[in-house]
Amino acid sequence: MEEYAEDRKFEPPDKKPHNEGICLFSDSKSCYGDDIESILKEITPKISGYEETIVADPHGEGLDLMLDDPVEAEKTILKSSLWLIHYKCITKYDLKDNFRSAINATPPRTQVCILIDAPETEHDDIEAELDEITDSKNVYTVKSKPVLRNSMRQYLDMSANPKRGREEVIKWNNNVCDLIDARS
Amino acid sequence: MISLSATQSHRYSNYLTFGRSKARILGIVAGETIFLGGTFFAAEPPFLPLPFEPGIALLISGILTLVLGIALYGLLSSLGYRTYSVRFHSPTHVLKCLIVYLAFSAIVVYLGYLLLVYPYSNTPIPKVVDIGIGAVATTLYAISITSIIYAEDIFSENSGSKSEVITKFLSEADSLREKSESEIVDQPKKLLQAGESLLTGLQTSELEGTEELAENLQDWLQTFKHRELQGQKKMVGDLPDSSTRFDVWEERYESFQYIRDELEKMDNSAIERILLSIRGK
Amino acid sequence: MVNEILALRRIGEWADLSGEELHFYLDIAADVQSEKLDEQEGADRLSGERYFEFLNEEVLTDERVLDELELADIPVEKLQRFREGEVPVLELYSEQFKLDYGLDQIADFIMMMKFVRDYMKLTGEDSVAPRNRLQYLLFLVNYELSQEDTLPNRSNRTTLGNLEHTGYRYNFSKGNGPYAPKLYRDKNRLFAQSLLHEEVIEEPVSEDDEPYEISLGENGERLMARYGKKLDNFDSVLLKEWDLQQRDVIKEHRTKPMEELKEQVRSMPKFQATPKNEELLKARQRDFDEPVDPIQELVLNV
Repeated sequence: MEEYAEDRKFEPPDKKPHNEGICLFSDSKSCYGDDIESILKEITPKISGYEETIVADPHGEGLDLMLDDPVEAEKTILKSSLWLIHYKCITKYDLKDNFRSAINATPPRTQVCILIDAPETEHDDIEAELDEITDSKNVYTVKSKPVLRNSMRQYLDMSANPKRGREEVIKWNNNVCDLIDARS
Repeated sequence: MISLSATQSHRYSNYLTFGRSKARILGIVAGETIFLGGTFFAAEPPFLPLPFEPGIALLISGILTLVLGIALYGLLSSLGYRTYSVRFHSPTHVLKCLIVYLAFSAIVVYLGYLLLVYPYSNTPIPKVVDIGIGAVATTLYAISITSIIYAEDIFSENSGSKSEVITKFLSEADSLREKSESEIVDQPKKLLQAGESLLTGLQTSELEGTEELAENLQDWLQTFKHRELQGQKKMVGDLPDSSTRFDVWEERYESFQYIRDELEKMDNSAIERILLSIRGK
Repeated sequence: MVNEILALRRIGEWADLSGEELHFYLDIAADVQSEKLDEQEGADRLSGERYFEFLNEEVLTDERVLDELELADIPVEKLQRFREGEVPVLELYSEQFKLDYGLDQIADFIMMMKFVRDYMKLTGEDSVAPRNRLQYLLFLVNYELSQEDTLPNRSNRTTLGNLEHTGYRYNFSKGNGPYAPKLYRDKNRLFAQSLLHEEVIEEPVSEDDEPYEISLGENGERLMARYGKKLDNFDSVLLKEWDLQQRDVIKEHRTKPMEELKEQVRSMPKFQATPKNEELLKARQRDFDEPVDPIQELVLNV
């Protein structure tokens, strides 16, 4: 990850688009009966300036990294500004405190989306269990595939897209670079 | 009636030109032929006194033809090695080029026979000894043309760096894959530079079969350029062993594997590949 | 850049949409939004209230969105607000980060902001850094309050001393240091309102430390400029005691490097006696608006 110059334009043909990392924390690529990757393929054509100002790359190793070494994992996962966490990673594995501190370490504007993929009758119990995790402003829950699709689309099109706010993307990127530097 | 399309004729002419400018090759052949023809015309009547029995002369000319043929194959293999076409690195393809070269030279030599010897021998069918000498002359003629093309190629452009660029591309990819993120300095940048240099070579090549590799390499480089380091590492094979591994990285790595295989084939000349396979056995 | 990416979803939920209807609405509204933004110049500066205005003016009033809402048969009065471009988007957000929390919560917010302001003033630093320093110091404020019992005419039901009546309402647990999730939640709420500002620090910090610095946000600066003097001279005895303790903690620890501060807290007998993840220090027990204790009332009357 490289620091962006303050005047970076992200426009073709010479400037690289902003590379938006999407980090999945799950033991399966499938969510709500569909592959996260195929959901991403569905939405990318709808993102303004996709491939020109922004490209999105999914990384699926979030859970493995957290299980391996939660402190070291932050160096990698912080590079992604959209985290998709399957709720079981928080409830099933003993990672609640680790997730809480990782989420606390995220710079403002990193979005953490917790995927509740379970029968509706269990939603309240799951949300109660997630309580302290969802305290942060940048954490929200999603309970269906269409809402997940829309949240990802909204985030990539509206929030992480330099076309909609170049300065904030530069700031986010440079914040993460500083954060990672400070940890190494 | 058999008619050759432009593409076909282009393909066949490449056996002789190796993707180089046709006008230039024609110039070389014409210059060479006129020069050799001139030397024959200077001796009148053209004859070659042989101090051997016809049987021995045939044996010597046979051996000479074989040795010269091998030398010609070596030269053609080197010429092929200097191209960006994987096909021209294949022993079989170079053999086809050899046959085309010999056929072309044989025609020229036979025309020479008709022009210079026929008036004396009064028979269009050469004698056995003449055929032996003709075979040597044919191979020599083919060698002389190939040598001029080869020499001209060496002096005219710096195409000898292709191998270095391939080595650089592949070694930077290995280093990017093997090293941890904190140890990586400028490998992605160097890999991109080498890749772009290879791409230019492939795109400017006149030979067929380079387009596919060029397209694949261009797409791959474009994607690589836009990726963050963690993605770039995955693209050269540092794929984590995880059940949530995304297909998109596997596809990008498969594309890299295809490019790497093709480049590796291109990194050995036909003759080196023959030697390697002999050694392998 | 839009940070309120859940706005369309919240608006849909406000309009009582759910299931398929919510999904259709979301897709159409996102399409319209993208299209309208592409048409606009300078859209990159759209955020917060300006974004909400844009939604009301350009997106929610678009025929395609209205058609979808009509099909979904939402309540007439809500549909009317869509038509008129008067969907209360801001309210949907302020409900999440509302500051009408009641006196006790506001006291926590104000005192935290005042702490940050006083820290910067008394130490000459630009911010509180690293971020966990705030956690350590606020813990010390509560701890010191718990060690004194000086408030006049107060009857204690616990052994928390002054902390029973004044101080932060954060329960601290023992992690690597003292840890209070509610303190962070409040810090985030203040950040959301630009009352506090948080940003990454560039200097390397140790692995346990959080590499952020906290200072006053834009609105926080304004608030302090306007009410700062008043906040320095509380009439309330409870707030005054809290404030004095806060200043004492800042003065005592202002020059300490983070490692020394951590060492001091970790070597406290109370910290060492508490098992990991267990409660280290209780929060303030009584609310400011709690009715006066009958016994206390009796004492006061006497």
